[in-house]
Amino acid sequence: MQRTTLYILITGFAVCIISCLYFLLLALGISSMLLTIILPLAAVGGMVLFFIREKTALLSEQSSFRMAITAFLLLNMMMRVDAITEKYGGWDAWAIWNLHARYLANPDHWQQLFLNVKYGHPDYPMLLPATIAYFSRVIGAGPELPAFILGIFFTFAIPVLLFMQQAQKSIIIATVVALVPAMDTFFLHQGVSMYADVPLAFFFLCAVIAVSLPVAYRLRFLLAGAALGCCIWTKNEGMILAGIFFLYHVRGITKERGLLWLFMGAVMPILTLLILKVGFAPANDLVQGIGTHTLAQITDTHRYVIVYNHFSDIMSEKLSYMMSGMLICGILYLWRKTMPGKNIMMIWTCVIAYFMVYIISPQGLEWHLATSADRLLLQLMPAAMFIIAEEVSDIGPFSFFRFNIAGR
Amino acid sequence: MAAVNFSRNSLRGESRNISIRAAVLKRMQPFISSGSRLGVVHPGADAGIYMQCRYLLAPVYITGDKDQMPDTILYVGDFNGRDSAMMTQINNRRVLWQASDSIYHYYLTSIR
Repeated sequence: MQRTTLYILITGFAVCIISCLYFLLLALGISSMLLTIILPLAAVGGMVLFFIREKTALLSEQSSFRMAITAFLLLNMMMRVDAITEKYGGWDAWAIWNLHARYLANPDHWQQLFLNVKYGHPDYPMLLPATIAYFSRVIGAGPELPAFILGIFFTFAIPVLLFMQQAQKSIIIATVVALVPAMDTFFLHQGVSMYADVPLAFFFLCAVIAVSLPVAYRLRFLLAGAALGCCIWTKNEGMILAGIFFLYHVRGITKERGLLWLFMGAVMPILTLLILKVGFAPANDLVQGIGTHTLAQITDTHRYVIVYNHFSDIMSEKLSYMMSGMLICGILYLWRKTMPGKNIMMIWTCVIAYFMVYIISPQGLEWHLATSADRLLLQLMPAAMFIIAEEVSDIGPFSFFRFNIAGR
Repeated sequence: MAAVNFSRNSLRGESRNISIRAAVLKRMQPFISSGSRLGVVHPGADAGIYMQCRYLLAPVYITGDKDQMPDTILYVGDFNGRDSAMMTQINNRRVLWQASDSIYHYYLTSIR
């Protein structure tokens, strides 16, 4: 495992710990500024020490060649986001995520947030808003700058993670798989729009990376559990992704006696989410909207055609590189005469699950698709790119380029 | 570097409108406490204006629902004498504060 990869994962988990503890302190009615700042920092410090001291021998250093490519990736993304950044982010940023952060930043009146049922989605998980509120209170300013910096971190971390992990197998595949999202305006725009979709994509990628780590790294299931917990605490869709991930990997994890580690990693965000959902938040509008008409929607073939066409358009227009990768994998499976890998199947199960969300959605179908489908599919892109790269890098010519320069 | 750039060059699209509204509503904040409830009324029932006011005035609870209007109401609109019904409503109330930006007039009112 790359040392840099571990640092990026730890930073993501630090965001989760800060948000959980900040929210729990608010829920307990503790408004002390000193405690609110120190307790999350102390917990993050403890977590960092734990991971750094554990099995450091298994961590590999970054070569200067790889660092140069990473620097190029970062510079390229920096120049591209320059032209698309907005101070208040996209519509959902100021209407939902940063709005929640503004409420959470006020320890006396934060519960007024849950009155905003109309357009406010107060049932949404709080990883982003609570972290933004925490830093907003620390710096004594509005939520925009902390939200932007968090957005930049999650957006930039994805191509870097893809590159770092794949560079050990094939430097060519690693460069391609990292450059594609790094040069994709749709991905970068979503990232700096301060929405929660790119952070969710980041955590889902972390979970997939964690289970692919060598068996010798015994904390890999703890990392995977923490990443799944973060998914759940970032967006409601995170529960779907974490559930499907768990179903696909539970046998392997149980076989390696990693179930307890997985649970330990996920316990804090899951408990915090339970407290939010049971103690404070109103019911989710989609769940509440499920009723007798849902059966009619499931049997309405016209809805399937509409959702399929919309998904196809997104896949061919905005995520064509992901589809091309999937196609290459398909050809590879035919050539090898093997069944698709477990992780590829997992990604497609997630796509089907999202597909069904639209089938049973109580919202206007066209409007619901137009406002969210591209972001939902984007959540799967980084993990899909990593999995595709894993499959492709085993092909002879690419694995040949595990050339020494990459390891120096 | 990103943060510096963010603060300098990021006023584009809807952010420009929010920024204009933020400058005006900041001046209104001394008239309302954080825990209060406020109604927002605007001609055309543009959800964007209601949501921008909600964002900029949080943690004040803002409602646009006619049936749940609290005593204090913020009227936002491009009146220009065209919406006389709304001006009549404002004239029948006590105006606590008023201001204008390049697009809208703002009247913070309470019952007489």
